[in-house]
Amino acid sequence: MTDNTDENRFVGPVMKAGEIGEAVIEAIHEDNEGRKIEVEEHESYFRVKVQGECVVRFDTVSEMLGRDVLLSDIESSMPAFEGFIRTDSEQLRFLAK
Amino acid sequence: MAMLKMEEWYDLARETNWTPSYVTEDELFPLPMSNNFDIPVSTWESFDEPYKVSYRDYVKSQRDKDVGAYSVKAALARSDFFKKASPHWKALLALHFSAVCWAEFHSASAFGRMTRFSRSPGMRNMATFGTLDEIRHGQIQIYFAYEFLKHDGVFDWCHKSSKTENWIIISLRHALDDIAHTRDATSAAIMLNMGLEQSFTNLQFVALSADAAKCGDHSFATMLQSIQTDEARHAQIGEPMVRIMCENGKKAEAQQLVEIAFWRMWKQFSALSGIGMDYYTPLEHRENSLKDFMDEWVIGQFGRTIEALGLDLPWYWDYLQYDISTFHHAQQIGVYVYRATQWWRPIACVSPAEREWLESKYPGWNETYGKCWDVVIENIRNGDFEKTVPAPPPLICNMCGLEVSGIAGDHWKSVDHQVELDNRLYHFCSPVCKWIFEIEPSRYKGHASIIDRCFDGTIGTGPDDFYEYMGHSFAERGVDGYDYEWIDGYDTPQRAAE
Repeated sequence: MTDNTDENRFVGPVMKAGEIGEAVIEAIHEDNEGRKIEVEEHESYFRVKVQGECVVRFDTVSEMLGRDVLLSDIESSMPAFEGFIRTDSEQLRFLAK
Repeated sequence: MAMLKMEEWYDLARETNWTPSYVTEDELFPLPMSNNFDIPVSTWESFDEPYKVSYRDYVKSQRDKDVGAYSVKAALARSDFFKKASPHWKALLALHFSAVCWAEFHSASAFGRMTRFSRSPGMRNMATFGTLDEIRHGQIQIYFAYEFLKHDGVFDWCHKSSKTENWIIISLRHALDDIAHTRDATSAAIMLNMGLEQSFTNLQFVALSADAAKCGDHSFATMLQSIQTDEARHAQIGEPMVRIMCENGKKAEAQQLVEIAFWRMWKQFSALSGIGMDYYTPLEHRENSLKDFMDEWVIGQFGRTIEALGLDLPWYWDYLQYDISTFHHAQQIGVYVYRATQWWRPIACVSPAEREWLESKYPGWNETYGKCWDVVIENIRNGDFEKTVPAPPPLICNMCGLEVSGIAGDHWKSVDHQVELDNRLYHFCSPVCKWIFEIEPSRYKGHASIIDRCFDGTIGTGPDDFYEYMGHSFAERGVDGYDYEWIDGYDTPQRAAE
């Protein structure tokens, strides 16, 4: 019925439109080199899709934004995501399996 | 002094299980509140939070979210958006806030049960934050809704609704009682997190926010997304719960809990989001149809998630896709024709342009549900308003509490799925509602729908008794939100277009 259910499915955050959302999208492109990345734009949110696994490093987002960014800052702009999330003090990961 | 990283202290801080000495384990975690599904405590202790957050970070994050949402609201309060909003959008706001505010607040109770009675320290941590989240969701939504009270009395129902016996509220309460408030901590965690929060809240709180933003209601859009950022975090309780169940021979039990909860919530969101997205959202501001959003968030994202977790797609997945294209269209007709039983002002939303949109999204709509609206329109055009309100009461499903409907056309093709038990005939709108009843008849058989209450003497037979029972004063009975002026679109399409 559904496809794309294996370890190659697309995963990643759904970000609220705004500066943090845009910085996260830029950071994802930098932190996930070599993986297929798609961004779907909706009226009030972006759906970022990375094949297999998506990493968001807080340092990279901070670099993009020009100020320190923590998990709590990203959470405030992330109303949803696809994949199994894992958090630590340096990064967010979204896993397909 | 350098701070330790969270991963350097988190596991140690989380270990809060102990061996009781004054009471037994069974007394501390009684079965009705804390079903361990015969899985050893040591296994439940392996629950590792996918989304780890410290209390310090939680407080900072929640403060930032509130500052963001409340400041948008304060800035926009001066714009008179509500006063200028169409009856379409006002009906959507009234329906959302009246159905959702207290349902969210009550969820704090379910999360509180998980916090106290879970065998997993990690789950207790996550559920603690979930409890605080749900209190916030009740408060912020009532606060936002009450802004409108000075303009429109129907918003009193944002606070009042959950304490009434209105038929829609009975339906909602029965569903949430079933999946969240009358289950042990383990079952409630799986049902609430997987069957509601990882599936349908995305529909109402992220997808609908796109419609709200297009509509210019940035206050509502911001609030919806702010709430869903909490849901996205605490709903992750479900992942390790299901994994532990599946890895320990309890996949069938987990599967059934998800299937019951998912279906019960689908029926609620079919009416709430379905009518909101496909009818009440002004045509020019619709980003997608319910079906489009369901394809993105539920059939797609949720379907992939549960399969990746090791569960199967629910057995009724094909029937669900049929129901996505049909059920809410029939419910919209029911809500409109029985409008006096609603607390808000229902609107028809079937102007020629809207019908064209519905036909494009749901091919065949004009030949099915459209035929029913043709009769309503003809009666209004002739001034026979009383003929737009059916004399007989509707048949109500003894599981979801919504109308047994089926598909309209030249004749209604309704299918009443029945069960006879203890000399009582139970009616169901779908094979899935019937299936849930038959899993555990003793759990459900005592519940009386609003129509059952009319016939068993609970509700009197006087002309006002039904409304008084539901908590409606005369002024609180729904009327056409456009005072039938939408009919002009049929007689003078040009004028309607203007």
